[in-house]
Amino acid sequence: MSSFFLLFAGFLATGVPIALALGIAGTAYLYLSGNGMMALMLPQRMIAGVDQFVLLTIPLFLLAGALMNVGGVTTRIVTFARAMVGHRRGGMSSVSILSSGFFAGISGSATAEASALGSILIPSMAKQGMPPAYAAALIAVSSVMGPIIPPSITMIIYGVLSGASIGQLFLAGIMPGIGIASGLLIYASWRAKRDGFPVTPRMTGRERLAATRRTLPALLLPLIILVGIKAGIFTPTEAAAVAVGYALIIGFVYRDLTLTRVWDALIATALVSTSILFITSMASIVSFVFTLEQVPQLIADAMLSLTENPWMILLLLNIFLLVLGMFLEPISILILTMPILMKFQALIGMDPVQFGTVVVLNVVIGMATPPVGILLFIASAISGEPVGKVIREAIPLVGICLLVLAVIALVPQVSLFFPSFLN
Amino acid sequence: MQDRTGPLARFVTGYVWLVRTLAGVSMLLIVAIMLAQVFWRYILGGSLIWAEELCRYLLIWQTFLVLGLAFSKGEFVALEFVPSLLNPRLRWLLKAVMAVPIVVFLGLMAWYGWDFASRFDRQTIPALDFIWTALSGEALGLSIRWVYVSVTVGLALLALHVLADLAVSFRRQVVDNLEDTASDADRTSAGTT
Amino acid sequence: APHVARAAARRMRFAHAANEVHPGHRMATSFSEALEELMPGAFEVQIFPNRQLGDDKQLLEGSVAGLMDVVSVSGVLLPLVTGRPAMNGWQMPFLIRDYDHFGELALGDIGQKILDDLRPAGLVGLAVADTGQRNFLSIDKAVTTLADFSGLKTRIVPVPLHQQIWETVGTAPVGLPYGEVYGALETGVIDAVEINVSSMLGENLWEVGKHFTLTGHYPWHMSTVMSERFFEGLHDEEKAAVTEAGRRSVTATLDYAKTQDLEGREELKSKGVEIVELSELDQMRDRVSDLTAEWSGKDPLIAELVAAAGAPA
Ligand code: NA
Ligand code: NA
Repeated sequence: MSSFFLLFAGFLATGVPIALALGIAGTAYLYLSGNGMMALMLPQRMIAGVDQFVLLTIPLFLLAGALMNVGGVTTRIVTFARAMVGHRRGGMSSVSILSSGFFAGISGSATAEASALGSILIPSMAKQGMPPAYAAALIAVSSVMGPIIPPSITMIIYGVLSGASIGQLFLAGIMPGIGIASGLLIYASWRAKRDGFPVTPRMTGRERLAATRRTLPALLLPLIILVGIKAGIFTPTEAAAVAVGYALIIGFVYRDLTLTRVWDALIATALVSTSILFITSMASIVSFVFTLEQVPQLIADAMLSLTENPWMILLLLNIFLLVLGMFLEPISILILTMPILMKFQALIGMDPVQFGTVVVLNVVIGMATPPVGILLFIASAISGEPVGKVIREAIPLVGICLLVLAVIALVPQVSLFFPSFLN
Repeated sequence: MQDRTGPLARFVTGYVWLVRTLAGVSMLLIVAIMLAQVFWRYILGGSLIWAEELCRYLLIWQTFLVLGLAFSKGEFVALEFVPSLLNPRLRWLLKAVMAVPIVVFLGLMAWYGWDFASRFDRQTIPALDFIWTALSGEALGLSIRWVYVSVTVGLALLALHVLADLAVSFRRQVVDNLEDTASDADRTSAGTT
Repeated sequence: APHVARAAARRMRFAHAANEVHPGHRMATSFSEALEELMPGAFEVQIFPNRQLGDDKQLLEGSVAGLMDVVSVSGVLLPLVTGRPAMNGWQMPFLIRDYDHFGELALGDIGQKILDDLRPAGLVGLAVADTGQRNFLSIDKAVTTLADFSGLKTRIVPVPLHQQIWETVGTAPVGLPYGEVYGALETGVIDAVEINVSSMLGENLWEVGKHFTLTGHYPWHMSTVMSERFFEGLHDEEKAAVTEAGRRSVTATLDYAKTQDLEGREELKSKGVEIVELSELDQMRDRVSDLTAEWSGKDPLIAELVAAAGAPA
């Protein structure tokens, strides 16, 4: 097992893409453990890693987001958020957080969110007199809401792997999403007061009404998805295609979409989703090899030899996931650790939906933590600020997310509020 | 790569056009089939029994087919921890060294994929059989091999892209000792969750 | 690390996709137990349940390719993956009366012939057992007459035989991934599902569907197959033991499945599920009876099974 981790770390450090590092280290481990003849199975595992109906939601939700983005929805969301909170001190920082929350409601991906919103909001915040590194950190950490507020690609994958209800997981993400948004908003106001960020004039009532009207259709998308699923019109997987259809309709109604833009979005989405699906594909090799060698059992036994107290196990599990989250991205972590996670869920006796929410929060927050925090990299690249400076600004913000995580882990009623309320 | 009108350049342009077009068409088909399925079931009370399976196969082909292109566009997430410490020349060298295990792995898997796929000639693609039976009264009988072979095609193309990227960056990074054209921003903006 | 020398047991990996209370798992454990009885210490059977090494189709392909030693998979997949249709015979509508009837045929001459028919595909068939007779679960109202089936959006496994049966019965068959059945029933995306008692319990379908009609239209058969590569690597005594263990696992699995089915019905009742008979069962039989003749024409072994099933015991 250690040979796998050494190889994997070595490949990662030398710049081999994560997907290939997983595949090569997994295959090498298969040979090293004397099961080389099973390597003929690996191409089938690669296909199996992609061959799941629900994974179609990845390209489809990405496509819906991309169409909304080229269709001008992103800009409209920002204008709408400005109309609501833009007049407060350091208003643009609150606008950023609120925009992230709304955007999360139509996008399932944190990186899509950071890229789409960052390019508009980081310069606007800088223009309003905020340090660019702070602006970048705020975008990076707010984007964590993308896969927490439904829809969420990470939750879909968790549901696929664990068998937990994806619809329930989606609902369970609402409260932590609100928690993170509120925490960040409080921090942003405090920071604006402390550093004396400037104030921009309030928009007129007419302007605000116009902004609301222009954004409303986009904000209705999550509602349409939820109602459509509940009414039995489509399945959660098909909902992703419906989201695309809806994005096309509002894009053409507003005349922001052209056929060329749609065509480009289709191709761009295929390219981006391939980079995600190739990771699930390669991770499927690793999980196959791990199962053959009974690695999950070994890790679980090692952890249990430390403690058998459920609370301690929960704490250890959180630390374990956060550490993995520092180096790996969410999908790989979920695929690699799911067999272990299932064992621990049974041991702790936590509700499967709450447990899923805790795990997803954990791995998603990891995207904004150093050293490997893809969101920090994106925001730093957009802002032109060095990653180190962005990281320093991100630390208190990540702290807020961890606080929310602790609440979700300790108080079942918080994450389960919406799932039980709507049943 | 200087001559943009030579046969190689034209071939590359044609290849990129083809892969992009196939990817776009595949995405479009997936959306159309899934929406049609919802329509058929909810409005017409029937069902397209092949819809789910066909969408999965489209996704498989699409994923593997565009791997190479996605790699060259810098969509693959990589950490670049050691490379960021090196000058362009050494960085190229490291990339060349790491290309060895990558290409060996891809080549091996492409070969095994072919071997594995060739064992299932008798297994047909049910979705296409359903469609064909509905159209002509007879099953199509197309082998599942045509789905499984996507791994071989995709990984082989990816290996070619890895090698081509090395060749293309050789002049800039090694001869001129300049930064590679793909900036870190491009490398990290790849989409993950 | 150096390990203590002992009589080298032959390692055998046995993989299946069922969970640990499903009769499919019993197929694996009873096979392993029988093997231990027959040749103590000769084999070290390592069981991988729960899709750990892949789903039914992937496992079966693995054993065809000679990489998986032994797998138990749903019988519907064997014709699909190997191109050999005889295994479909077990699901001729209303052919198999009950678990005992199944056992009689499975351990008889024709049962063995159907298993042997897999040999050209690179598989050594060791066992076939009914892991749960299929019945009909509907959401809105109980199905008691033939007309009640009409137009119901019914989830089936999308294979030609099942499609044909359920279209002939009058339903609108829908193909959905197994994992989405619960949600689809709950929201009304589909109206019904053809299912067995153990899956009703295992997948918590009783929470969303309360009308269970005892149609018993066909068994849900699973088959244990060994890769030819592994089998040919055994010496004669081992081959005989493996074959006999397969036969013993049939009886053990059928006993388990039968008990689970009967006890499960009581459990479903206690969970508020209404279990009803189909008043027009004979009409349903009549409606699909032509299919049996049609499919018998596709493979002589199916015809032979049909004849054997109809013969007085
Ligand atoms: Na989201
Ligand atoms: Na991280």
